Amino acid sequence: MTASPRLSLEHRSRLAIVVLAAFAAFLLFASTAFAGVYGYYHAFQYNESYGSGYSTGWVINSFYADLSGYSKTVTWINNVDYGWSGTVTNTSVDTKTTRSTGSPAVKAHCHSNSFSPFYGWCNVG
Amino acid sequence: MRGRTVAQAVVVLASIAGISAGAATGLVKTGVVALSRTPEAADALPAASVLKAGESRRVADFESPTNTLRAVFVARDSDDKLCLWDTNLVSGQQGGGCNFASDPFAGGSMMTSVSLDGGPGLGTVSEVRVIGVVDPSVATVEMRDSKGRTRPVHLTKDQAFALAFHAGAIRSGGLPTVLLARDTTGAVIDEEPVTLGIEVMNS
Repeated sequence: MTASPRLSLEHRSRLAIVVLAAFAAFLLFASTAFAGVYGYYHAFQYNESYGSGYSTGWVINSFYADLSGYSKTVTWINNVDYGWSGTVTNTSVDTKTTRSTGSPAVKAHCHSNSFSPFYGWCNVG
Repeated sequence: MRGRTVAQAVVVLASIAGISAGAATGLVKTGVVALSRTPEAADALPAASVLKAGESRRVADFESPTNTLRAVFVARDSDDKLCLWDTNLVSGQQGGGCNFASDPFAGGSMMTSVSLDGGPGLGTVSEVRVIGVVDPSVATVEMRDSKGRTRPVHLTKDQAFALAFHAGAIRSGGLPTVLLARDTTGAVIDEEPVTLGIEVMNS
């Protein structure tokens, strides 16, 4: 009872399809799995910054504070020349920037410009 | 007779409840005058925006130095915060900030936001935009640059403004360093420093 070469080829083809589907599902999962907090909630000090991983799927970068009045910056940094885009600075409770999905891959970046410490966190999605 | 009195009492209570409900919507208490007017089609966020559609008003239109059509929107988000958005009308890209709807001006009279393209090096910045919305107590807004020069800022009918500067303004010291809001007597009632955010990285 040995499998025919033809049957073995079908099995391998099916296996390849299953593996590819699983890999595609993993990529889909991976692109969204790490969306979330990239600068954990704590007391931000002057000149402190955080960055997320690179992705072509990020669309909104937010720097949240408990209160208004603290200068914060959010931006996107691309993985080609590491230039910035969509940079926003203000003292609102939430500081936000958006982008459309697509190349190049970017990472979300948040930065405290405030001399007074404040509690906040940075999130990307 | 007693039935009539009860009916009158019900009408009075209903009126009080209606007024309270109106105040609770936030349209009355926010102080953002644009939210008290009836929305028009142009008040909707651009279709390309990644933000969820919600209550919004388009409060100022402007053109960036790179000839991009832009607008300023105020919008209420799902967290019951009021947001101020500098919006690219073509790409839908937006940037801005949100404050609690109960206190959108954070105790002051202005809500502002600064956006820029390029960076982090100052030499690579192609344009800087400053947007804002002010409460009804503000009669005029003016900007002061790093050389101490002042100039008036145009307020739209929705008490909003938008300023755009090309890269040359950075080198010539023409960017605003502070925005001043004055009441009808000319007294300064709010003052907002203008920070690019990249100065820290370049210092």
